[in-house]
Amino acid sequence: MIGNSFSILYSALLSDLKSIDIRNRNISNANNPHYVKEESVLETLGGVGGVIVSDIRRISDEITQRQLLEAQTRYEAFNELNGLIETLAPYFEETGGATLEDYVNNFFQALQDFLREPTNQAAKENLLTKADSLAKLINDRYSLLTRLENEVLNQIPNAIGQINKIAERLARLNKEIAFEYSRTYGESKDYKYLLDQRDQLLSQLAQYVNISYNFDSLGRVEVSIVEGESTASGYIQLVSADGKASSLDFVKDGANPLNSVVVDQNGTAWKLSFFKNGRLGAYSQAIEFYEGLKGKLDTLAQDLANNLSLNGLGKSIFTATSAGDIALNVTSSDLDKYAIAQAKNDADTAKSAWQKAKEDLQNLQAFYANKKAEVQIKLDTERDTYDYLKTQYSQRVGVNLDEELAELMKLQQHYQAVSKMIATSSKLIDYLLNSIK
Amino acid sequence: MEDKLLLGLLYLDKKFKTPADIEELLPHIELVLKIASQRESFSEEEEYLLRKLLYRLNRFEEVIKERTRLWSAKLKVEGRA
Repeated sequence: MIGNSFSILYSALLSDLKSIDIRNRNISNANNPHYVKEESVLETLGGVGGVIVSDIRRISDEITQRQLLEAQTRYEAFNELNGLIETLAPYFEETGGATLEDYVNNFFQALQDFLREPTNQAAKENLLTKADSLAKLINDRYSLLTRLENEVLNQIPNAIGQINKIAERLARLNKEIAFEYSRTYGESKDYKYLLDQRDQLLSQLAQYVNISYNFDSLGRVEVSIVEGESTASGYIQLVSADGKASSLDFVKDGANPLNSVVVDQNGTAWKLSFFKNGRLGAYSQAIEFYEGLKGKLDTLAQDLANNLSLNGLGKSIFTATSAGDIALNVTSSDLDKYAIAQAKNDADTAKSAWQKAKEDLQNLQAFYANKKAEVQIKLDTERDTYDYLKTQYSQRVGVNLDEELAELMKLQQHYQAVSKMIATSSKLIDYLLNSIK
Repeated sequence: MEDKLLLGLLYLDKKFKTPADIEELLPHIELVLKIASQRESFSEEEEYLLRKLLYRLNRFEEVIKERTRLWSAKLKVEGRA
């Protein structure tokens, strides 16, 4: 019986030591944003009795965590997209310096001056200069968009590479979780630190794409890429609970960036437009936006080419199939041969072409300004939502130092009391043994 | 009236930051939307702030609804109301 009491007291000491370890771990991770607070779960031992730390409870909050990851992936998308749109501000905001609008107005003004005095040499030269400058500026804007589009396209393989790396690490972690669970099964299942690593990897993955995930009873995770906002349905499986990771490939289409695809392990090709969130979503939306701007520039270039066919010249001032190839179609000698009798009619043509060009410019500017405002609004809102959920999550799963210190003091007192009981029992045995002698 | 709308929108832009603010700010939001509904046109700044206010309302409502959905799924009480 005395032997049993020692065994019971010893089990209490061991449980206290384990619990103190866990509290110490909590305290040392108080400033670690990826750490989730842990608590020991005590269980009465059968047979002679005693106590054991049977499990370590992780104080997680899966609901807030899911919302936090979703908010994070949206915030990442708009943060990245905002930066990509901002790079265009000096070229498309039309504030300060010589703007596209100035170039268009200067050209039409020069055209009107020429049509008023078709024989004036200075007016001819001015018209050619202004027309050439306008064509070059439209070309430059178009080339800028193409260059930025390519830069964005070149960032996608890096993002895909990161997604693949994280998926592999998660798959390895799933195997490690299963191994550590088996290894620590009989002794408190102390493997929950691996779940912090798992959550950190999920958070890293959410920076790139919108993920859907499920935990099994051990804490292993199954991850897929899903896009609720996308018109394409389906999901891309990335990680399975048994430790298999799928890898993605990127197939770039430089000629038509929107036709670039991400190919999954099964060979299914997912258009870039499928991705709406995370950095990948930002790249997809940026390319769509650049294509939209190019379309508006194309309209301006084509209208200039089609609406400025002057009777006096017998040809159009510009040629263009798109903003990328708009070019001056008249030379100084063409202007020298201008049929003066057509000047009045051509002035009317120029006037209506000017009006159309103004409308095209307004459309272009409104398209840019509207997208910029939309992205700014979404970014501000998503940042606030993300910060709000992050605070809520850390309040629920983070370490409260006051609470931990109070628990630690209780455990120490308990440990001292049990130690004293062992010392007293030991003295009692010594006394009994001496009495027998 | 014009100043009231802009002031109201600026106030909400500063204060309306999280889903938890909806309850406290709802009377202000309703007042601002009522003033806005009586106007035929908006300045650029007013339009931007109105768009932002409406987006926030939708997004924060979505956060609350999603939370409810996740809790219902967790507690398996969906459809029992």
